[in-house]
Amino acid sequence: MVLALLSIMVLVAASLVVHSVQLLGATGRSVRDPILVHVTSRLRNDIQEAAAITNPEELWSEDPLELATRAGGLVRIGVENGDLVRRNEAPGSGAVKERVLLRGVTSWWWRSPVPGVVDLNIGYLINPSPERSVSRDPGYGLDRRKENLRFAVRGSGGGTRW
Amino acid sequence: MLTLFHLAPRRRGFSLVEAVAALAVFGFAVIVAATFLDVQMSAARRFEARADLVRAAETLLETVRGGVIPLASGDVDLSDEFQPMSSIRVRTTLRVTPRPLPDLYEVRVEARAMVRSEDMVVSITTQVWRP
Repeated sequence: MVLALLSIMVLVAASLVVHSVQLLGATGRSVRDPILVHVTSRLRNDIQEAAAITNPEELWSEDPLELATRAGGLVRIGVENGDLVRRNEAPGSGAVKERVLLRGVTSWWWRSPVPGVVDLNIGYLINPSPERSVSRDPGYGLDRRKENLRFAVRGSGGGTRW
Repeated sequence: MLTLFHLAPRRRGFSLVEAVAALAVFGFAVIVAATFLDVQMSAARRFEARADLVRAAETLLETVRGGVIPLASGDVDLSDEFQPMSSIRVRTTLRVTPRPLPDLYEVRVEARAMVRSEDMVVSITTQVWRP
């Protein structure tokens, strides 16, 4: 009787240990996941502050999104070699600042269903959930996640945007 | 000279009482650990669901600001524009109240979902001009 109880307890404890180790592993791996809050914050600022979309597309497009800034500059956001890259062209001088917003991007789609509104659909790689085992090979066994975002351009002012 | 040590009978292994006591302590520790793990998992799910609700509310607000839907109270279907990361069903509601200034409205967006039999709501209230 005692042995049977002991066996059950050991099984339950072993299951707990396995789950805990999986959780710990997933927590450790998630540290290497991209912090999407920063990316969405950058995109939100760029789109909401923009004066207009210079290449509006009503249907989903993979091309870079081009935004005219209120100062007369141009912000171009698109995917290059798996990186989401933001290029900011300063007004007048034409100097271009380049910055990678997100690495491991698997898809980039955007559309402007009505004038002044931008829908974004970004696919990117993250580490898998605790329930899934992970291969040690780089890039293999990663999960794909999609982020859907909608922002209204407000830089032009007026209407419901303010 | 005999000592007490030599007089006492030799004991081998554990008695039944000791084994049961050890089992009880071990069982208590396992139950506490399982409860802790469950609480942490629930908290993680609630956190994920809350992040989804915030994103849903923001999507609805941007939809209103962009003039995609009319400025009117009611339930709004965002299934084409928004997909939650967690496995929850999000319902979004828009409430529009006129303000004293002409063409100015108070807009309250609500995103609601059942998370582990708990009704979770995220709401944003702001003011919007009618175009």
